[in-house]
Amino acid sequence: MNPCTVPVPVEDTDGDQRWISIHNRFLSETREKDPDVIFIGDSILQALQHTDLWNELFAPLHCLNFGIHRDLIQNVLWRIKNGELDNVKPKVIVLHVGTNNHTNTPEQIIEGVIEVINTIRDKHPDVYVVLPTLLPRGHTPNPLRDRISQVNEILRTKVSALPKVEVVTIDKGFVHPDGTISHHDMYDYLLLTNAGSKKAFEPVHELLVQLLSEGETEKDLTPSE
Amino acid sequence: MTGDAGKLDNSTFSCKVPQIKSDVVGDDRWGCMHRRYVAEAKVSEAEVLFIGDSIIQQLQFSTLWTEKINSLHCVNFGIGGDRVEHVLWRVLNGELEFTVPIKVVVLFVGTNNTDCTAQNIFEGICEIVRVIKEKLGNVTVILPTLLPRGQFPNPNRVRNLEVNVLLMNHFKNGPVVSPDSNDTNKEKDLSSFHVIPIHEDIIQSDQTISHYIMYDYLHLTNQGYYKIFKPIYEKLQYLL
Ligand SMILES: [Ca+2]
Repeated sequence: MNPCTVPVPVEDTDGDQRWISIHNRFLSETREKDPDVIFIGDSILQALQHTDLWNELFAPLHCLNFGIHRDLIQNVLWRIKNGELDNVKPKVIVLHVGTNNHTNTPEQIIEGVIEVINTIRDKHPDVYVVLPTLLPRGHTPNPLRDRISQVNEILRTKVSALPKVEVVTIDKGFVHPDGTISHHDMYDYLLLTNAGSKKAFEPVHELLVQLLSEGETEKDLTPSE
Repeated sequence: MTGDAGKLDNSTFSCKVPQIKSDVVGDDRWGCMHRRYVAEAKVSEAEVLFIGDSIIQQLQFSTLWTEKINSLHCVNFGIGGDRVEHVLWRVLNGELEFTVPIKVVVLFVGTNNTDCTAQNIFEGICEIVRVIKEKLGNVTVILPTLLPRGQFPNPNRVRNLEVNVLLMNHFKNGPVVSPDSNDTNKEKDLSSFHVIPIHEDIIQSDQTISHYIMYDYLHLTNQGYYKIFKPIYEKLQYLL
């Protein structure tokens, strides 16, 4: 059995129930707000919410951010199966998860991501699912980067062929010619600085603007490549 | 704190034993950050060092830091997820080897030691302070108190509060701080410890913590930093 496809909540090893508190807060946000876009996923998205870029570009598009630090694919799957996308009618869902599944193979990660997409699709048949590619990590080359590259390759080929799924390449321009990643882009070689988030997520913003304007003009507008 | 440590717990597992953070994931991020900090210390001209865990690390992305604290010439050696024993290892392994002397160290660590006792955490913090004094000599150490965590009351809040009480009791016997310091007292200040209570304004009257101040019930929001860490900025202003 692939663990990435089995929904599971995060175990409360710290004893302060923070993960379930955050999940419950997201549930209350779905009841109180009408977002056009929902970001759901891991630390990369959660940290994005605290950048200048989020305030300037994403907040005005009526976005909610359901990122939780360190979440695995199976945790995001559990959250979606337990209400985080109920009571909302978003036009776009941005999904970024998988970088923390460091014990899983690229194939398992892809299967898990597809399971998340299918679960989203069951709840929102017409929603666009936007998948930014996974970001490279670590100051110097390491096995995680290799696995992430393999995942991204399958995302760009196999997964992007799914209907109403858009894969945005955001992982270029971070690894320098000498193989290093700068702390000016990723302060801990994982999470983005203001400068890094601009580099990675401006293309996501452009796509969102495009997808959100669709239907306001012509219904059958084909998304441009 | 050094030779008179007879009353301290000497159990086998202890926050007082320096530990390298093991690279379970395999991307060596912790080691790379540590080596970057060691290199930064050598060329730094900063007067203030912030060292500790994610609460310290994320402080540098807050408005309070960029608009106020940073102008006091600070470096930030925070690492997310660090426990007491990890910071202890870092201060023993090059992160305090400054070429230009540091005047003040702000140390904040302990909330990630969720499987330790308050006494154990307290002793580990004291050990870090001892190493700081040993390596940097005439330096002021500022200890902001540990923050409560979790949306609702939980054992971590109790333990962090116990650590704070131990710290406040221990360091109140250190050099006396005089607010209206003349030059002599100022000199005295610069070789002292200050425990600054910053934990008191976070828990609401219904015992919950709001996500407007701690977005994940552990880490501070931008406005949370402004409110909670402002006393640290004011203390630094006074000292410098
Ligand atoms: Ca709603």
